[in-house]
Amino acid sequence: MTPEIQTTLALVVVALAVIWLIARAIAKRRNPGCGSDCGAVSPELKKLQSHLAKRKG
Amino acid sequence: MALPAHIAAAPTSTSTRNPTYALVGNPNCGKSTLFNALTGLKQKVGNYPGVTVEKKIGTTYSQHGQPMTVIDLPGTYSLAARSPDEAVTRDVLLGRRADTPQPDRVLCILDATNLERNLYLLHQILDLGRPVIVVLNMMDLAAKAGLNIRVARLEHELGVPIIPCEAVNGKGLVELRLAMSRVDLPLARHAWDIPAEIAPAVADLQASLTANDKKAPLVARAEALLLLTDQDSVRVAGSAPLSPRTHEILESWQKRWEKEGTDWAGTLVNSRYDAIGEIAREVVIPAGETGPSTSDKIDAFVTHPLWGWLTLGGIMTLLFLSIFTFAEYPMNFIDEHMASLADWVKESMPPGDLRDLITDGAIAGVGGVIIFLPQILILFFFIGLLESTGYMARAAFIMDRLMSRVGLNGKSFIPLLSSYACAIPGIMATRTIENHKDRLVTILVAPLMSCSARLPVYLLMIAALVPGERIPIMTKVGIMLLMYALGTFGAFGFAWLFKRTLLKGEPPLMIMELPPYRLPSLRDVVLHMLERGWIFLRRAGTVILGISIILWFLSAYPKSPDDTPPQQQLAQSFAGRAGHLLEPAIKPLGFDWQIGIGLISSFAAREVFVSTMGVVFNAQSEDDEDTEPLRQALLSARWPDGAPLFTPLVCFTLMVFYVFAMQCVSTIAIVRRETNSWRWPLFQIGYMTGTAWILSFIVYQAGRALGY
Repeated sequence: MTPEIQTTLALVVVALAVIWLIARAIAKRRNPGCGSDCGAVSPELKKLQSHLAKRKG
Repeated sequence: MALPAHIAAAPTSTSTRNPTYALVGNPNCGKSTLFNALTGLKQKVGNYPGVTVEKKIGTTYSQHGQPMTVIDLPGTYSLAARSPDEAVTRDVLLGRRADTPQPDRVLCILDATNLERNLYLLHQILDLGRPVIVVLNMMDLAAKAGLNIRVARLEHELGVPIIPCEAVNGKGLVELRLAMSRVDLPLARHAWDIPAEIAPAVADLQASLTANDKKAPLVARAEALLLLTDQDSVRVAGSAPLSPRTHEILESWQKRWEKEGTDWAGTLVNSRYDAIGEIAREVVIPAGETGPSTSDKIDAFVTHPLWGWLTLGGIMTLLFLSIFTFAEYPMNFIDEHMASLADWVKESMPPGDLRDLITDGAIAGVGGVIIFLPQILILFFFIGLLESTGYMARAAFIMDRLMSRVGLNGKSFIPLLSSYACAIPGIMATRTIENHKDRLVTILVAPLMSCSARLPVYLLMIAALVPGERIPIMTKVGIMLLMYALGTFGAFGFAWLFKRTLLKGEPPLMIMELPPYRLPSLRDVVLHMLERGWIFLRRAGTVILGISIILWFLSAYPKSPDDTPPQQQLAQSFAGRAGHLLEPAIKPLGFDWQIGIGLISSFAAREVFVSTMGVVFNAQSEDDEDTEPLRQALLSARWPDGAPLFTPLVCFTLMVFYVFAMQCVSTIAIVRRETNSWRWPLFQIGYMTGTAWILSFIVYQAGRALGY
């Protein structure tokens, strides 16, 4: 893999990371809080939520 | 027994085909357990519009398979609301909320071990004239406590179905479903004589509520009693306002009684307590003089003003000792293997940006954080163990003494305790605090409690501060305890200050129940630990990976000529320039521009500091083929004059900075939402980061003056 290809691929990965983090931040603005990142939601409730989400899907 | 006049006129049955039940009860009476047992996974969780109070609605089925809706209302000791949660319960039961229909029937859960206290809420609910089923929960615990509850007598006294139950074990659920399936439910026949001096006011308000507020006669009477007791002091969004005429009547009676010196609210409450006391005396046969239980004997020691603190200190020491003792080997294992992984990638790929991104960005950033997984697992194993045995409630009890001295509300304990894991659930838990000022004080100080995101920063700094085996493990434990104590006492200190300046007010009393001690469930404790470990790993693999990739870019671009030394390349990069911009402000604290990059990036999340250090110090490594573990890389870091960067004093100062600095975007966002204003989060950033800077400055400069 030439250095030029590596540079292009690296920049694509960086761009994807930026887009993902921005999209995540926008989603957080709509629904601020830890989501499920901090463990505040009990495992029981999470199971319930995923079950409901599957049913909705 | 003859029916009281206000009940006799009421219809005695309901013909609702798919009835809606409101599930009400005191906090900790087992309401949520019963709700889950009844509805299983058939639940919808949302919020009441306009208020941050959780709305849980579920479906259960009658014995004939007919669906029945169950609304789980927030726990309350009385319908006289003192907080937004309690106001929602009151408003739903009184039919004040347009977004929630008034329930057809009420399921009132009573804690059988505290029957007299629980009867107050039931007594108010019976006034509503709705069909009520009483669930007498925790009958097993009441029996263990030696209490004999005469269920048939209680049923006779109140005239409503009473179902003895053990919600945790699923006992009594079949009987409850059968009772809920009944087409007709009898209405209460509890007798309660309203004091003569208050009765005309109740009649006036009832008439006005019926005529002007369109309330059913019995609901109007219950609401009239409530208006005279709590004076409608807590209102929340979505709650229908009273008509002006009802307000006028209420005010005219209050003025009249104030002139006469009548304590109308006290008279009403006392009268109700008298009626409840009579019922309780008939129904509850107390335990004989059996002496203190084992729980009582343990509590006499662990809640003792002196021994209690020593026990808490001993447990915390043991916790941190375990973290350092047991985590050392797995931590070294992960650290070395991360370095080996990076070396393998370097050997397998030709030099180039993608290789650098993988090794210096992704592996260095994520690896720097996940080496702390063993500590996180041990910490949460111990926390789970303490919660599971019932010791946490004792810790709350002894902390409450201290909290009340600084003016903190007793209900602040749970939010502050939750903040040791993460400030966000802690801040959300402040919703149960009824007093607005007390709630704000708790929100303002909650992020000072050392959250688990600070743990990797502390551990990295302790590793750099006291490398290898030269320093006894107890020193490491002592430093860790000091950081937790600094955060805790910092929170109490600021709460004391705010309660005497910005948010003056008297703290209300709190009633705290101490659950009996029990053997911990190892399964639950391990599940809790694995859950936390998974959350930690997921964060490392998502947010921290993303930020590490971007940080690599910022530290590698713009590119310098090929022969530029790595440190100069980093200095000229975007990240280096940002660090240099910050350096004048942080140099008096002993921090250079490289640490500055970490301080900036950790606004995303505090543990990102660790991954940033990984990226920054790997990016400038002279050795292109051999990756240094992060802790060693920190120890090799130098100022331009060759002096070591991470001296013990700098590491300690950095820890102090992280104890106090407000560096978490998610917490800022949640404070903004909970206070509905930018004023308080901005104030919080200012006072916390200002304090962090001042204290770090004092520590560093004093340390230097002392020759460290």
